Amino acid sequence: MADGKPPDAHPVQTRDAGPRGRLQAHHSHKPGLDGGDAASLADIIALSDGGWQVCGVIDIRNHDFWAAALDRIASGGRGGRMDLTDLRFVSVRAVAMLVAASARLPPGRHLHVTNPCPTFLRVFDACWPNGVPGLLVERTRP
Amino acid sequence: MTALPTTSGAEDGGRFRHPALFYRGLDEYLAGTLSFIAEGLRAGEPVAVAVPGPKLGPLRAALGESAGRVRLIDMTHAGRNPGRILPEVLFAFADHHVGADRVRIIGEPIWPGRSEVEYPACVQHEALINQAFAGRPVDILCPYDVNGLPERVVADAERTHPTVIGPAGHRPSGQYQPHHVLAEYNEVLPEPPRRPSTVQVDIRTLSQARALAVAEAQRAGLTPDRVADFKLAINELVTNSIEHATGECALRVWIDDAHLVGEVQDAGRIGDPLVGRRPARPGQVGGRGLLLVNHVTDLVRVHATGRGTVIRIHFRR
Repeated sequence: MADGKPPDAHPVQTRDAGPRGRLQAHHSHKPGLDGGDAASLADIIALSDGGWQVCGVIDIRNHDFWAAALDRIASGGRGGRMDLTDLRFVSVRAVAMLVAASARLPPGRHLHVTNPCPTFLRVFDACWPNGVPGLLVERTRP
Repeated sequence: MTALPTTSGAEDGGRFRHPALFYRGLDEYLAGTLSFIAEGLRAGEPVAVAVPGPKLGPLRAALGESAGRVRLIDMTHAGRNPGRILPEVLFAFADHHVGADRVRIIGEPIWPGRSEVEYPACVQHEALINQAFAGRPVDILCPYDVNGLPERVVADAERTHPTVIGPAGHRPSGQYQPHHVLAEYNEVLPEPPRRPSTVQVDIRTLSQARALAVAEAQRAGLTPDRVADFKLAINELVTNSIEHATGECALRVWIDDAHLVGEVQDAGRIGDPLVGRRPARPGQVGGRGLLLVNHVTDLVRVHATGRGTVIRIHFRR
């Protein structure tokens, strides 16, 4: 069982914000990737405070999904909170993509990451030991 | 104490200089290193010293107030994994002072007590320094404890350093052949002492690779942080195989008396011998995986051929 949690049946998917702040799913489905192992790929849910909740796992299987989601967030230009409480694993590239997205925000705007998993912190601290202007990382995790 | 002559401008058109310092005993060590440091401080050059911890005390005492102008680094920590020395010690310091006329570093990556399994990675690191810093205004002096190290190690130092400094002074090495050294130590890795846990990995079974990494790391008794590091390192290695080789690889994991070992074998070829050793640019998205592998592991060994690549990572238990 991967990543310590039971597999769910979600394929790679991305969601657009609906009219009431809830997300409306559409699938960016890569053929062949959603066997039993597609288990723990990521969902991104828009929160009522304007932020986002990221769940699951981000790795090579859904880097494209992650990049598209981050593009939308960065192009919105306002930043916001990104709750990673339910993100169980993240690749090095995925963290780098988040850092790159934060750098595209206008001056004074930032992404505020909360409750990152240990892997996120390990990668972030190793690669950006002095931090990143557009990214605030809150180091608490329930 | 006799001051030993240090550098000459004969190497690399006078830009990059990479001498080996052969010393016998603490007096010769201090003579060779202190004169190198003093020369740099007089010229206003940034100076770093990355040597085994026990050597830092005598150096700090001998430097006196000047110690505050020198970056002192315990190489047994910073360079425990030889693959980490270039990005996190040498490039890190040189790049931080990229506007300086010249940067001066003492790097001692090989000391008595380095194991047989570590040594090939150490000597390959020494060979790669020449390629990594070619053309840059940098001095890297590498001390070798001639009394404490095997003759083979001292002979290899003659092959990885274009010049050598000893009690008789400074001389060109007649044996300088870093590319041959890299090839010679590109060794077939020994078979595991015990039957490894194995999984064939492709994009559909990536999670199984991470699950195996976690299970074996826990069985080896690693702390939760190190379990997470091992999982991360395995993820990055198999991801590289999926992305850059043929889309699949064989993962083997085993535990020996001293280490948890993970090995990824694929049919890809490494085109750049400095991959995983060049620091990433701040905004760089790709190409960070092997840097992270080098960062979190205690040792990385590689065997590359025209038919494929084996990368083996070691975590101390």
